[in-house]
Amino acid sequence: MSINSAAFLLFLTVSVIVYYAVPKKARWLILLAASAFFYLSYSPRAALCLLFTAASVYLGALAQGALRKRERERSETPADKKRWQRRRRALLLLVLLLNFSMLAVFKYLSGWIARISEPLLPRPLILLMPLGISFYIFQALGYLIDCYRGRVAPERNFFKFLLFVSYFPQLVQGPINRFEKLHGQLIQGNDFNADNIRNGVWLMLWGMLKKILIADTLVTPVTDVFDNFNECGGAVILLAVVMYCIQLYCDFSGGVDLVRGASGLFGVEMEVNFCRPYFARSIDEFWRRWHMSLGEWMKNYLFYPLALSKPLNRVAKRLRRGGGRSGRLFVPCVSTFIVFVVIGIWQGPGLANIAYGLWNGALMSGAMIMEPAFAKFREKIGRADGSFAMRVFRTLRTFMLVVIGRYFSRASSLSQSFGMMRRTLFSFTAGAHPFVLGAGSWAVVAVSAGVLFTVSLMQERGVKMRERISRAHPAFQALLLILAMALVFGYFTAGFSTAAYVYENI
Amino acid sequence: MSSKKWLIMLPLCALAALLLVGAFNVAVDPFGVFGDRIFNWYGYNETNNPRVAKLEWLEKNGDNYDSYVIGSSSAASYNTEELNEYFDASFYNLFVYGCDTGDYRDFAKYLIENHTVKNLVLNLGVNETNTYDAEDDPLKGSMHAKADGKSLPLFYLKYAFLSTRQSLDKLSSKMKDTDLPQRFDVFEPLSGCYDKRVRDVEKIGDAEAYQSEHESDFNYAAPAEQMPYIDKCVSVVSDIKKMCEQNGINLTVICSPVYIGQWRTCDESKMREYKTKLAGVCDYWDFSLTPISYDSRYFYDSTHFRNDVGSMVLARIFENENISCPDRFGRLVTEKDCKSYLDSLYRDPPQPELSDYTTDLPVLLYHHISDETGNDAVISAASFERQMRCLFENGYTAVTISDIEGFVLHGGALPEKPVLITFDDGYLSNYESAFPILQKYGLSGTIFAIGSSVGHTEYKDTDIGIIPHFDYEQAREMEKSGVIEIQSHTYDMHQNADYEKGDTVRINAAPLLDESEKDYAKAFRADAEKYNAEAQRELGHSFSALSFPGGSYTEQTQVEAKKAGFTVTFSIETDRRNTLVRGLKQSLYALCRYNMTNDVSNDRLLEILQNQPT
Repeated sequence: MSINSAAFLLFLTVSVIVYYAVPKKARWLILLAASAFFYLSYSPRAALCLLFTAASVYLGALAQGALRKRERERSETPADKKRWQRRRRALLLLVLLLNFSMLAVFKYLSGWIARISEPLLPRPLILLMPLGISFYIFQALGYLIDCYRGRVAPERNFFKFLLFVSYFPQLVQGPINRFEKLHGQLIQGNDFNADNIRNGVWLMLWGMLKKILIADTLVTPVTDVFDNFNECGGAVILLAVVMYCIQLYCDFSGGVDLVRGASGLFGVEMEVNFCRPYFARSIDEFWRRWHMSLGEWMKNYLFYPLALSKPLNRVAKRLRRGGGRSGRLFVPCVSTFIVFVVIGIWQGPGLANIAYGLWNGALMSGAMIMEPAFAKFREKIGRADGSFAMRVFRTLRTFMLVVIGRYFSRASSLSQSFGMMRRTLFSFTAGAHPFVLGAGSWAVVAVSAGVLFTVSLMQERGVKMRERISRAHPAFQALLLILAMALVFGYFTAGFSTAAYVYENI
Repeated sequence: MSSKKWLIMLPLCALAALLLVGAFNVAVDPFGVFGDRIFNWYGYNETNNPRVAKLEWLEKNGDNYDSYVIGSSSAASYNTEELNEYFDASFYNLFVYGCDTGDYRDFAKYLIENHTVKNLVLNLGVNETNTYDAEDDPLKGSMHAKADGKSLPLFYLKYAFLSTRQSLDKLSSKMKDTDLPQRFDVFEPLSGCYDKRVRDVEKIGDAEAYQSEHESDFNYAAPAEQMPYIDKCVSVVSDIKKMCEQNGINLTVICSPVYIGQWRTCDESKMREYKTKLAGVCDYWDFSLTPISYDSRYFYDSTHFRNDVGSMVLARIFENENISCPDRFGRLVTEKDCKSYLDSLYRDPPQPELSDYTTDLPVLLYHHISDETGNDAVISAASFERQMRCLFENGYTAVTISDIEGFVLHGGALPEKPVLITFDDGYLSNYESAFPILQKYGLSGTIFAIGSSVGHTEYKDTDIGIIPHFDYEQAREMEKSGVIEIQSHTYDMHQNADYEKGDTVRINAAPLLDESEKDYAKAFRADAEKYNAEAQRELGHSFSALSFPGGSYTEQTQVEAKKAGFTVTFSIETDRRNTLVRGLKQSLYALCRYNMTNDVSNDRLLEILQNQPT
């Protein structure tokens, strides 16, 4: 069942009604049952992978708790303590390794396995990526690391923990929730609150419209250019990459809006994942506004451990002895760089994805190194620094840097990325284009993108859209609701198939 | 508004939104399920889902028909007008794409229960044994509930609440619609056939050229399993036969022509099983493997034979001698002789020689004959005579339009070394110089005269002098001699831009820039009708051949020319061989011609006559 379908809307409606109909204590069980139904309807085999992650992390976390207890009770000397810590660490690494290996097998080795198995088996073994595998693995492992660090107490009830891992709104493409924020909301049994329904429904509609009106319509022209870039003029390629940025944002944030809205119907608030990233004025800010839950995760579970790691700090110490800024910058720069390379690798196999990571890592570290020069420049232009023109310039510049990154992340190979860049730079003509989209579809995209931009601008200025709508005339609210729902229903009925979410198979 | 009130409003708005979607879909009706009152565009609806829209068409217009063709898209090529003549009935071609014999039974049952049925033609290809009750696309491939007996309310609900994208597609297609068929509008609603006007005028050239132009169309990929549904298919035929017997309906079963590429993928034992079991149920006409199977030009692609072949099939069944069919082209198979028929088919396949049914035809093009040579459209009388003598001495026989028509359409023969000599424009010099020279060497020629300049020495409606043109009396004299045939170069679609007064100038018969298909069709038809009427009056015959002025034409020009009754047309292209193929009308379209000048030596002429493309 795709979350962009009438079937999902029906499933969700029934789940919400049943959720509030049962006694509070049993409500979490409804969520668990709904999640099981949702995931099994996708693929029972993929559910095994999820079960494996849930079970291994559940046991790992319990063991962390038990070892920690023993560490407290039985260590008498610092050496004892260290021994216990080593054990906990070894156990943590084992569970991390198990889960990341599973992820790696599906993500990077499935093509290889299919090739190897082809001559050996009657049918090649094709491993299909289980839905949302990297999202639930990240979420579960975050919890495990928190347990290791003693930040949260392990959940003892396996089914309650299973709900945390398998909660269906987050399964398709995140966001990656933190245990301490989400778990309680899932378990406690939330009271019915009409506000939650209203907010949830609006958010869902908004997300669905972004996805079906903009993202899905842009799939064809973007694909046409990326697949035939050799025949396109540079300007057309640039336009396609910009369109891809819009498509990806509407696809990813639309999907997340939809599931956050759906989750809100149960009174469960999930992590915010996007905050109008294309309004960012620096790459650093962009990454704090784009896929925020992944950024958080990377910060907590990769950046800090790296920044605090002994080897890096040892080098930094040595550099600091030489004086200058290099000692101070070394650790954050290298850690940031590594984080972005990992994000690149996480996007998928292939050099283009690594290049995407390198590009962002280089930009971020470069910005840190260049900061004194930037500061000087700001000082020089004085008051003009905060001017509207400067703000627009920074936003556009940041957007262009993001666009350049997308040459890597969307292309199927590094040579394609460079080929497209070459054409953009050296044959910048409008020339031939392979667009076959009808005028009507372009109009739909243009109007929808216009609405999206206006709403985003208002939100940037602090307008709370849903509050504002709720204050509007009831007739206006009804009309808006009918229009939005008619658009959604018009798409979600027979004869429509939505494009899969870009981040669904990641 | 409070959240509670909003919550009450939510289901009401949802309902309103649903109704809005439903109303929109019902109004636009992209599948023609609700009567399509606004657009009445069944060509589109049927392209979306022929099973549903054709049945709806019959619900509305069923009284106009009393006989039906049932089959898959390989039954598309039976022309209903021909069927009407042969059967003395009014046919509707109820074929659907996406072969499924289960649907044939449903259709037969539906027709018998709901309409008058005198004749049923059931067409079977090979694919009928490859699929049965296949997983259908729920919108585009599904059967109408009135025929398969599923829930009618659910059926209508499905089409009311389909994605608005389907309706929007219909609206945007409407804006792009033209007279000629397009991807979204491939049916002729009245007959139920495909609108093949464009593919029926495409150039087919020699076999190799055709094959290379359509390579991907002829890469037939055989299904993984060989003919798994033979029994299902035969039982459907048996059911339909019973229904027909019970209701006094005349049933004709045809196994349609199969392209050799597809035939060769079929296992012999399976094919024998299929044909034998079928013969056990009913007699049938078998056209599966015939001489035409071996030539891709008789097919649109590897699973669809051409409309011309459909005409041949019907001509064979109804013994119409007027249409050319090869030997061993189809026969009625009965249970008794099925085995011996199949034995002979496999022992001695009917593979023809190319020369049995095709011939190359060089065509020469002349204009004015004069010693005052000025341009490529002028040749001296001496050069003309030299070239004619060369033809004569080398054993070439000049043929006429009716000779080549006879070869392609009616099974007539052509001499061993045929050549067609043509003259454009209708100059007096043709009468004064060419006519006697042709006569002298026992040759013949065809003159394409411009109607508006016959008998003129001045440009029409002006006093501007032009090269003199012969008049009708001279034309009659030439025709009477049997040496010259007069044909059309259009009445007035070869205008001179410098001399015309009006805004619209047609220097040739191709559509004007920005001219709508409709306007162009009207203009072309008017010109042809006017000229034909005049020819009938002055020459006692109308025209069957047209030379495109300036050699310019488009797909639509050829479509309109065909519609106006021209069976042979000429271009001035020289990029391919003229290959006439028996039975294929389009091998007579846009024939290439070589422009002859003083410079063409005898050697060059002989080279041209070998019909080598240059």
